[in-house]
Amino acid sequence: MSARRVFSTDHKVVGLQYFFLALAAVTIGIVLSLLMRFHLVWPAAHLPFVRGGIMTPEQYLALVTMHGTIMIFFVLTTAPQGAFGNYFLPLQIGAPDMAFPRLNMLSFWLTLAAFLCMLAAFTVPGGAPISGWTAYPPLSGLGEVTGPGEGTGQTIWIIGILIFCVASLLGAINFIATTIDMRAPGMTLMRMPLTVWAWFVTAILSLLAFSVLLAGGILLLLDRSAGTSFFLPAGLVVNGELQGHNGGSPLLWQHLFWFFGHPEVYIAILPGMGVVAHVLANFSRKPVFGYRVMALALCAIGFLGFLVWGHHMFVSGMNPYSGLTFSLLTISIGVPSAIKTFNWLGTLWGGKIQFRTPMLFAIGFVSFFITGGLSGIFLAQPALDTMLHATYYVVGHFHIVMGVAAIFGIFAATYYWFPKMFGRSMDETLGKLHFWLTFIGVYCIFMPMHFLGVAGGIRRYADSTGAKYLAALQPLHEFMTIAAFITAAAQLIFFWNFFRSLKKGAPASANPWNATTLEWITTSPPAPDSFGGQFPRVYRGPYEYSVPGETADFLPQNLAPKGAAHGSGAAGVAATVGIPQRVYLTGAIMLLAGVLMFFMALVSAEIVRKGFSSDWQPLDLPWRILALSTAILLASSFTLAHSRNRLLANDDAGFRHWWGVTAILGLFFLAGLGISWRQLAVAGVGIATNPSSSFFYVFTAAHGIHVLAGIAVLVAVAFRAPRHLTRTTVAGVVSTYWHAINGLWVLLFVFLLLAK
Amino acid sequence: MKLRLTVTCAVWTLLIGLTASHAVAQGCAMCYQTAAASGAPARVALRHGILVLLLPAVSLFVGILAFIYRRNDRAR
Repeated sequence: MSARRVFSTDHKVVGLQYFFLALAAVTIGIVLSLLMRFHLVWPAAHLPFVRGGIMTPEQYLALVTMHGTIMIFFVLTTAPQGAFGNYFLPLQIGAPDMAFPRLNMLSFWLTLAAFLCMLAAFTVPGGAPISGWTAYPPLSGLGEVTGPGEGTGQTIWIIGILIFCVASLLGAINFIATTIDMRAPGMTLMRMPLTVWAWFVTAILSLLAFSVLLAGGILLLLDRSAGTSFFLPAGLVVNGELQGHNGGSPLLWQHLFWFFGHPEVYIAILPGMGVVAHVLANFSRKPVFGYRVMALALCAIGFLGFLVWGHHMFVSGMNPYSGLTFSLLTISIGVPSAIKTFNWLGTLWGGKIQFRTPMLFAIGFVSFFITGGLSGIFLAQPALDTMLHATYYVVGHFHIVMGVAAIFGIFAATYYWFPKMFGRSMDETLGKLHFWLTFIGVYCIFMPMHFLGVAGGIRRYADSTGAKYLAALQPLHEFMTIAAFITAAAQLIFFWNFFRSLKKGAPASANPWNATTLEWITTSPPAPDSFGGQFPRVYRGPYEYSVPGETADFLPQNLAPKGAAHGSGAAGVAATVGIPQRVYLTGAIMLLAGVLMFFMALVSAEIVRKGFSSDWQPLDLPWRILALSTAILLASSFTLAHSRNRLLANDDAGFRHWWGVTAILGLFFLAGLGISWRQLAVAGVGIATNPSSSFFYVFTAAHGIHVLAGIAVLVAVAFRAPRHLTRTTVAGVVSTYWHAINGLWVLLFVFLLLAK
Repeated sequence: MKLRLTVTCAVWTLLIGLTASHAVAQGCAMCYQTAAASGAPARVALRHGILVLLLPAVSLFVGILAFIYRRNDRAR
């Protein structure tokens, strides 16, 4: 395989790279879970590949942490969006590629780097971290004093998450810009397949949620490495050793982490919902029941996902009317979820159902979604939640609704799109065998966990055999473990079927499922430019199956209606195809949305940290130099605007002159920040001196990096204009970024003044 | 007929709303209790911190949906 193919910018290659990364990740994740299950039943057993032979509680916790992290980030987030989204979003909207192919490639390689970083945590002294996938401080913030894995392993884990956040943000910008600006002529919003809707809403959630996790992760890393106290309270004594932190609050981490954690549930499940609707319609030979409502429900779930987070901790001591509003909004997330479930069932109702393997997995998804939804009702009651929270009930619930349901969505997508991706078909018999073993096996693993939880079986305990009150339930553990091994073995059928079919599967036609959406109008696998130069024009909705009055059972989206200019039954072809210039501005705006959320997370963190602490000391900042720097930055906005005007007036020399002046003013601003840092350092105020100084350094450093990036772009563009962009576009994009970053600084400056 | 339906919906919404204050749906008991156990200034700070994060997020979410809706005409 050539380096050109490995480092390809083709969305299909990038999609496959994500797919195989997720496949490797899920294999590791399953092995880790089997080790855990084995240990829970036979805690004294010698394991040949465990350091010391018998697994220690810390090693068990490391497995818990890494299983959760790998599965949530590198399987449930990566496969549905990164793999299938990258491969099929451009195909389904009739685009030649993603909006920013190089950025797309970069997203994948950063994700791979994050994955390798995560795995490296196993190899360092002390091993992998033990603080769980939620990395709650103080355990995750203090270092190796709190246990093996909390030294280098935890640091590497955080760095891996930070890299993953950046990769996800870049990916989200690409998905949003592509969906907004790269659709084929005729591909209106209400003609987009539900998969596209799902990837789009998921991308918005990723953009807003990963920015906040990025900010939180940086603060956690600073607590570990720079001696700050964002999350670490004073007076902590670990192993008889007093820790030198002051006034931080672990609740601040919960506040930031769950802003990401709640939408993450929907990031994992929404693409599966899209795929399931898509597959159910295809194999029921019926349009999706209530298509418009389904699309709106996807948007509503995304929107309400944030409000659920707000409700998470909002209730204490608040105005009762606000509580009522939040309660209502939170409860109402059940409405779009229920709408989707009823509409899936409505799609099946009266259809000519074909029980092919993708269909079975789609129905399995619906089954798990309903089961998980029903068990979730109990956790929504505080009185029950308090009792069940730390038990296996929660493990069973979230594995069914978030883990397995999403995985079944991935399996449905894999079996469904395999012929398109590889030009061959997977074996149906093996596929069905795989489905039934997995479907039954999963219920056998996770349903008993609910009973175990109700009986008081505590999760995260490495060994519960010593608890007498749980002795009667140990056979349940044994049953679940045997079921887990059988279910894991069933996945070997999938692997065999998958890799064998790559070489020896029956050749697939362009449209083996008689489907309607645009990915099926091109060859299997698609040509390098996706549509072989014949880019489609869209005339129809995405699910026109069994249309009354039509002889054909399905009508492809590009099929011109009777009486259209192309004539009856002709395939519509778009006149021109290219990357529209406006997509770059859209991309810049989305980038700025992510940047805004990042800084809002820091602002929010400062507000919460200040409210929780007794060690907050007002900082005597070098206001003069900061005010002067602010004035310089504002002036640079004027010079950039002038430069753009010169460009529009075709005055090239004037454009270059003022463009350069802007870059120089930006450098002056950075120098001003440097001087203010220097003055603080001379006064003995470092990043860890007190919380206000910590936030000041973080704010200015983060903003300075964004200004530096702007200067780099200004200089780069001055010497060499990008190939695909006109100069006017470049000037517009850079100006938007620069003005927004400058505006952000003004807001931060005012915030620092108010904080004083 | 339409007015009657609207009034009925409004009445039901109001009734549900009035009874919803005790329904702490999807609230995490652990987070809630930790927050509730904090002092009054901390709770106020938490509320403000949540709003600072929540309002931009929902505004941007709605803004991006409005953005794609406005661009819908270009696809026609």
